[in-house]
Amino acid sequence: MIKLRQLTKLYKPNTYALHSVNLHIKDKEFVSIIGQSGTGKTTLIRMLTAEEKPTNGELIVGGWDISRIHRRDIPILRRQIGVIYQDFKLLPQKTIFENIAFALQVCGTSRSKIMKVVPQVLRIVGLESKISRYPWQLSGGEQQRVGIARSLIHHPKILLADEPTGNLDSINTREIIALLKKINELGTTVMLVTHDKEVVNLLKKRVITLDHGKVVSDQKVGKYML
Amino acid sequence: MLTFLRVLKFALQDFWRNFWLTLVTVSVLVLALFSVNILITLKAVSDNIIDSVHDKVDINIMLVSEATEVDVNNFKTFVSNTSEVDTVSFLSKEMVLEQFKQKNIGNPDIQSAISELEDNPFNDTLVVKAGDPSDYDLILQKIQASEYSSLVDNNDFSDPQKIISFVQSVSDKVEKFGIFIAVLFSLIAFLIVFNTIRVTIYTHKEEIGVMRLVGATNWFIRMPFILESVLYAFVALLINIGLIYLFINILTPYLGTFLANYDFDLTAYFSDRFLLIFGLEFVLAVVLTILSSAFAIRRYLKV
Ligand SMILES: Nc1ncnc2c1ncn2[C@@H]1O[C@H](COP(=O)(O)OP(=O)(O)OP(=O)(O)O)[C@@H](O)[C@H]1O
Ligand SMILES: [Mg+2]
Repeated sequence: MIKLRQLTKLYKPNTYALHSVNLHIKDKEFVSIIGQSGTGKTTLIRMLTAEEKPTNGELIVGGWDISRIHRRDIPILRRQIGVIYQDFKLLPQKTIFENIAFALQVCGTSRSKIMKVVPQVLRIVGLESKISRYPWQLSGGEQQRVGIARSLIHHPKILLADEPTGNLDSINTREIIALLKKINELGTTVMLVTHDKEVVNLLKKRVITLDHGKVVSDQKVGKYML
Repeated sequence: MLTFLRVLKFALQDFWRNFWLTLVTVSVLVLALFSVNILITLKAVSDNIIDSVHDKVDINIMLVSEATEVDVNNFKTFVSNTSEVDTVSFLSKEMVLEQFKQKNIGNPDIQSAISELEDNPFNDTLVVKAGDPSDYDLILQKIQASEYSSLVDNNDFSDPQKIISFVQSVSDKVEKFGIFIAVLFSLIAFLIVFNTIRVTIYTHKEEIGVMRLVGATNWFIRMPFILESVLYAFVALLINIGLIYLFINILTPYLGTFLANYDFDLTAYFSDRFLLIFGLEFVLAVVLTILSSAFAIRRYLKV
């Protein structure tokens, strides 16, 4: 599903965020990416969403080499990849429903389809009862669940999560991780970037450790070892 | 179509949400457009004055009383064959007197002076109109140089060229100043639109971020800002049309008092050229606003 071949990202003049990284993440896999601050985890996510271009190497998503993606094709890529962030990125003046509907509207989805999809994704994350609340009326965990719901609107094959639990307490963290696991079981490849030792140990899934832009360990059932 | 309506909706929302920003932007655009229209008005009025002066100007060549009918006819033929001359007409001295009376009908002093006269003080007269008012000097010179110069008693020739060149020079100066003002306002409008779009982009940072994140196209992200700027131009145009008609209505009575016999209908002037004037202004305003918002988008809206 995702292949990295000699993937390198150089921030001028001399910061190698990633340096000749080779990786293969299979379809429907659940991988965690860990590593100290500034080792290129976010950079990898940003290259997968074409916010950054690789300096060198290949980055292949579902058979599509996106390392030289044309600007015109970026929206097509982003509609196939769901992304969630530490800071949820919800619009404060819109309700939960409107937040998700907005994401569909701006992609040109018809009204009737919006009315169908929004409750659907909210059901997956278990928030269908809070559809008309505003983000500030939700707990952090609930807000992140809205973020996850929004990332699912296009039924993505891949879900990228950049420290999605960074702002959450351990109870909410467990909930979010359980949700990611459930989404993974429904057939979505999940890439989770995290700092959280507890999360990694709980998951018992593949763990890739980055250090200074290089893969230093890749374990089938990983433990947090930093 | 669906997406276009949505983009339009977003643009309209911004238009109302940032009311003060919209107000300033539209006002500056109105000023720019209005100064162009003032320019058009002044140009129309001065052209009209020049035209009517052209039409009214002629020379009256008073003939000596000894001139015979044959002399007069020959002279008339000579004058009408002069290439600069448009028309020549003959007025007998009775007709000249009658015209003089008519002209001074409101002046009792002159009326009583005339009625006290026993003889007609006027002579037969040739009225000459030139094709181009700047040619009167030349025509007179040609007459002086001809064999008929002895037939000329005197000629009453109010130098029309002076009036015309005065009007012309005033209108040229006003025109230059007007162009300067219009260009200045356009530049200011360009900067204001640029800034408005910049601020709007800034206030929509989060939305734009989400749009990108979920895979909205560049077109969809940028179009509301472009449309918004077109909307500014459109509203400014409407206000400007209202203003210019108001302005004309206020101006027309003043023109009437300044210029006697003035019957130039400015409202009709604009209405006859409505599409040409306002269509062109709309195109110019839209080009200006689109260009300036495009600059702002390029600069501040990274996709
Ligand atoms: N836009 C940028 N310009 C220059 N250098 C950058 C830029 N973005 C990231 N970097 C550098 O690239 C390196 C990797 O950054 P990255 O954000 O990928 O780290 P990270 O692993 O996500 O760290 P964290 O765990 O703190 O989020 C860092 O040294 C960072 O300073
Ligand atoms: Mg990071």
